[in-house]
Amino acid sequence: MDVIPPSALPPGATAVPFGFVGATSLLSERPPSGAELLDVWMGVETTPEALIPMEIGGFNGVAAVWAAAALDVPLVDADLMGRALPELQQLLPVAHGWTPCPATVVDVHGRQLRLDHMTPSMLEAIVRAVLTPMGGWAVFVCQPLTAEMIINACHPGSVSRAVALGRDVHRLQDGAALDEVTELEGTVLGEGRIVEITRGAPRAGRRMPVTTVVVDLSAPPGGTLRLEAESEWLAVIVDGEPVATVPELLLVWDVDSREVLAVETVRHGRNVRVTALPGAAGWWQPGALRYVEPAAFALDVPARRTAVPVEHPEA
Amino acid sequence: MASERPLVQHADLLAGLPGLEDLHLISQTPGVTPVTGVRLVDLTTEAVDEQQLLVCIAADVASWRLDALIRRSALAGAAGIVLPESTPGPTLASLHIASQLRLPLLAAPPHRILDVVSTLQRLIATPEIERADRVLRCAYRWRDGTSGPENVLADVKRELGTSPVLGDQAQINEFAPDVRTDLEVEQTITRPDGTVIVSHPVPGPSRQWLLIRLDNPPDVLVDQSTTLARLAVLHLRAWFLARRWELEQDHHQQSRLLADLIAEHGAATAEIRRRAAEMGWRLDGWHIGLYFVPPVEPGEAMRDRLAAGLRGVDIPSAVVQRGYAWAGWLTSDDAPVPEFLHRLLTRLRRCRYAMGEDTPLRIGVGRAREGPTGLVASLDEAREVALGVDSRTGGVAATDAVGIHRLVGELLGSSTARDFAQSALAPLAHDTTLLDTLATYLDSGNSVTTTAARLGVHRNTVNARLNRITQTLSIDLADPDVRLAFQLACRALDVPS
Repeated sequence: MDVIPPSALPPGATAVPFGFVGATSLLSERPPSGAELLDVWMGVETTPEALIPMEIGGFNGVAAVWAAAALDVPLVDADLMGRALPELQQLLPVAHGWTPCPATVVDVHGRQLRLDHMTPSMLEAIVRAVLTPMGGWAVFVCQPLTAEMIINACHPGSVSRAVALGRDVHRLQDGAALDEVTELEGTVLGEGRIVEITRGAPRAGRRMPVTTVVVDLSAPPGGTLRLEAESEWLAVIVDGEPVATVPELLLVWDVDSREVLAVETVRHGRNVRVTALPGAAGWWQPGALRYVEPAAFALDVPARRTAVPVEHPEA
Repeated sequence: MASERPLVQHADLLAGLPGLEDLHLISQTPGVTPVTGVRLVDLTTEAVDEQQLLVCIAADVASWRLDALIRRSALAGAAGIVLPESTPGPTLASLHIASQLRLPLLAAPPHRILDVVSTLQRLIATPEIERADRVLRCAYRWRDGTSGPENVLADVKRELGTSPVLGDQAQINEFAPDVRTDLEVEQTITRPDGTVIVSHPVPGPSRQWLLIRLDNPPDVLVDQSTTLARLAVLHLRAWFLARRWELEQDHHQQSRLLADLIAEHGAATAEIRRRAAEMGWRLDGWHIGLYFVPPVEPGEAMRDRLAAGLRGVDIPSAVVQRGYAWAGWLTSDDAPVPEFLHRLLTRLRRCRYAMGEDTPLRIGVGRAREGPTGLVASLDEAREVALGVDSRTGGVAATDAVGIHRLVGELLGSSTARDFAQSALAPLAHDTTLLDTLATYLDSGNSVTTTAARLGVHRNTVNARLNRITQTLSIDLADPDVRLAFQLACRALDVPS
């Protein structure tokens, strides 16, 4: 399986965005049959020339590699989010007027739903509604993208970046200190002990419950760091001042185990280091930010860009 | 009467006060800013002012917005935040930030919060109301202007619970050396031991100061003392003015006060100082004594003319009867320069001429001397030089460096001089024409022409009179010793015994 830069796509060729939707934590209880990857192309005239990960963060980043390998097509070194995001309208090309429709979802039994002629938000609402009857998760493909669209409206280079960061993860597992993997670590926003974790009901109009984590900063001059989250970390607020928010990548490191903690795995009393990695620069363009800023999660925090954006050579 | 009601200080001290039993402190934070106002806000408010207690009636207190409000409030110097009680309450983040930034957080049940606000507003207004009460009570007591300093001091003591002091520069410096009495401005001094001195000058010639000493007072009491001191000073000034006007009409009082001061050789007792202050006399500072000897027994009319004459030449001196003469003096902060003395003498001469040829006033000027003892000494010098001036022509004489006038004055005042004058001039005792002619001749430098001009007679008349004088007295006026002795004798005869 080859990973190719978007510019390496043959003229006129397209790449199909690929990913899983729903609760990927259910994959272990309800494993894929393997047929989904074939089923999903029924009703589409041609099989794909290439795949592009819909979402580089989380399980979907790996899922696209698996799908490209299984279909024996190249994987384009780019993605549509530049991180992990929970909703289907939170795709970078959507901000450029592109629509994911027609889109197809297929479940483990091969039940297929083809959606067309609707806005990205409606697509999200309908897919979300059918996920429960479809078993909690489904394979998702949508409108293919040309090389030009990928270069101009997506986040090129995200697969190589993920691989580079993955090497750093290996170095950490081999005993390297956090300070030695600065590119993975990102900008340090604070370090201290978790003194409070509050999990509450979803905010109005949202599905995911909210989590607030309070970190008592130990390093001088001290202070208090607050993390606001749904299923991802959404905002970091130090002493009442927002310092970093989505679409930046917010990371909570367990200082002792040198592992990144997800929202559901943080525990009271852990010593953590909170850092930020630059998110896709495209999200900070006018018209794009509204899809991913804290307000898109009904969180009343102004968007803050902390990390210095990394200009990818392909961009 | 010290404050009976609790004075609002810091927000953390409010919880549990009468009427605020529902209010409790949720951050373990001592306040650093006194509360002077209450404002209803929501968590996103940007308008936060110093010393304000912010009250949120309804708020998601677990929101990060509370952190931000705490931060903004602490930076703006707000006094604290009152929140509605709720579950969950504020996050630890909010409590930590509040305690780090030392901003008290308080909470009250949501249905009681408006009652709490109204009680708070009343409490906060209490010092203002108390101050207004105190000022109004005093203004009412002093309304007719008849309350003297004793009453004013007693009233201030009743209001503030501490005895104020009224005194001149010397007395204040003794009581509170750190008050700059050389600067005539209100001063509030906080000493390291927590004592606060509030001192206000009373405008007027006597340079009095009102001083209030407070031991570790709350800020509001200092504020109230300052306001009350301003009112008291205003009243005292008016009272001193009225009193001075009354006393100036009563010349007898002035003479008695001056006599008492001289009797004490300037060692002014507190009672004399008080009387002097009422009279508008300033005892501290530098004094130049003046002494005015009229040709005839002094009367009211001539005193008024003299006072008007001095005013006419801008000499702000009192005119106080002293035996058959008047005493006066000028007072300044610093030792007068020679130019000032020179100008003073010029003005006094103009004053003498303004009094008219028919009033040959003798004016003596003493040296500049400091304090009440200096005043008495300078008056003494002025008296001596005044008596040394020719009584027929009058004139202005100042105690000079060589002390000639002083010597002459002492000579003339001596019993030897008087005895000699009486016996030597006895043959002429009943002939004032010849006596005047002799004195004028001797004072005119033995010039017959000048004598004739001054007496308004012909030179031959003068020569004829001089012949009669030398014959009657059997003396030779060509002898300088004789001339000196008889010139002294003539002067001495005018010296009152």
